[in-house]
Amino acid sequence: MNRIKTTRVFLVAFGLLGILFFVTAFTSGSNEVQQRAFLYKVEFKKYINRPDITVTDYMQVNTKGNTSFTFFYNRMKRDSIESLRKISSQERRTLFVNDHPYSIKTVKNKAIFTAKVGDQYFSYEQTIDFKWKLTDTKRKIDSYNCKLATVSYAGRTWNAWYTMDLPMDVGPYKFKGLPGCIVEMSDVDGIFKYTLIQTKRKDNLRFEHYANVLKSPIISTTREEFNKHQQAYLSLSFDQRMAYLGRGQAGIMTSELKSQDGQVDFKNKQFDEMDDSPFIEIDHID
Amino acid sequence: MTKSRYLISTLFTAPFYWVPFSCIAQTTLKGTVTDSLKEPLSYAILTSYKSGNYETILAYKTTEEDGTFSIPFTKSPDTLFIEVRHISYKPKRFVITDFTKSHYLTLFVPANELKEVVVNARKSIEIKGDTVRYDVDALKDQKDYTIEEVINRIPGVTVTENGKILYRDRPISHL
Repeated sequence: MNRIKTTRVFLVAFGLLGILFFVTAFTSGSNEVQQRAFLYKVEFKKYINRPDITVTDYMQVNTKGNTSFTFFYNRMKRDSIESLRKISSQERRTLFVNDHPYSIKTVKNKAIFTAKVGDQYFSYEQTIDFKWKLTDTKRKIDSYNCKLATVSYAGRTWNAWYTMDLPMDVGPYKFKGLPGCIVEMSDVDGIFKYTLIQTKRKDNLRFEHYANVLKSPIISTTREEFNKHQQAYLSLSFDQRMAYLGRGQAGIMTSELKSQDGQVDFKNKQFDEMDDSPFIEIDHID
Repeated sequence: MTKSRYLISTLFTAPFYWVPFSCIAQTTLKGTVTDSLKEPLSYAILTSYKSGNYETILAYKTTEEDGTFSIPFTKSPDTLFIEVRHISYKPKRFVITDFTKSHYLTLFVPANELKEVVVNARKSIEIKGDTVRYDVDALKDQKDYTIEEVINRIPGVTVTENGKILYRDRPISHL
């Protein structure tokens, strides 16, 4: 008799504990982390020696808590189509993408950078830790009260106007770590410029690549190796690029693809390719 | 002899007695940011200022997933002016003088975000194969007296002064 009573008490207690567990589990979800998308206009000089040619593209940053996914808007649209079917030449024309697109997935201060060089995807991990210098200089950009912060990164010095009106750690490219969202950013040489044009609260934002990127083999590398490889590829002439794309096996390019004297053959280059493309990171470039 | 050795040892160890004191000079501001229901708020941004005009930022930090934060200061301040910002809440300012305890900073007022408005429109046009059906009830207005006024409201259809009905500027042969 006594034994039945104790088991009953135990069962009741156990049931109550279960109810308590469910109640706490549901109420703790009340402070749901907001998902928000930021759209930046990206402007950069296409060639170092031709400052009159500016390329415009659009970069989107999806954020949720300490996770963010940065990509080029049209590149993502193309990936979305290409993961289902072959893209038509008409779509290719309307969805303009700049010459070297990339995407960055960031969780806390760990960033994974992914980009295609030629026909091969590369990715590398990097710890994000910008040494921002905050200033008291103020400026109003649209309706946002902004403050100026400067940083030196990978061989360039950048000016960033951030706003605390949008208290989220968001910025273009890899840039983040300010007490607010970056509204406008450019390097002191005036080659790259990012401008925030829209921010929207949105549910079900994308934080992963589409299947066509995920399915293709990705070579994991380092930041230094990637930057050197990308520079080597972009300094090739059209013919050399074709030769590279028709190579037997995928792999990081070596100097053997350059002309015999080790110099890039400029005679074969098209007029548009006469000048070198500027890079965001120039600390590994000679 | 023993006395002098004792003296020497105290002389040598004396500077180290100051170690705990110098440690105090580095203060850390610790605490949790919560909402009015005492639920921790993650990813709130704290900015600390030296003076009450909230101009020059001393240090800043984003709260962790559990709403906690800790900001170390190399130079121990007497008073700190803290501003807490969160995307879903209105910013709030706190003045902190006590650095020994852990602080609970609470944000009360949610940011004014416009509620979603749903517009319910009645479908007035229905296309079935080669037939376009117009719902007269949806096109009808309270001030309408004649059917002409209703027909005039159908996209692409006009009624001329002599009563002819035109569809895309072409007369309709029979009704």
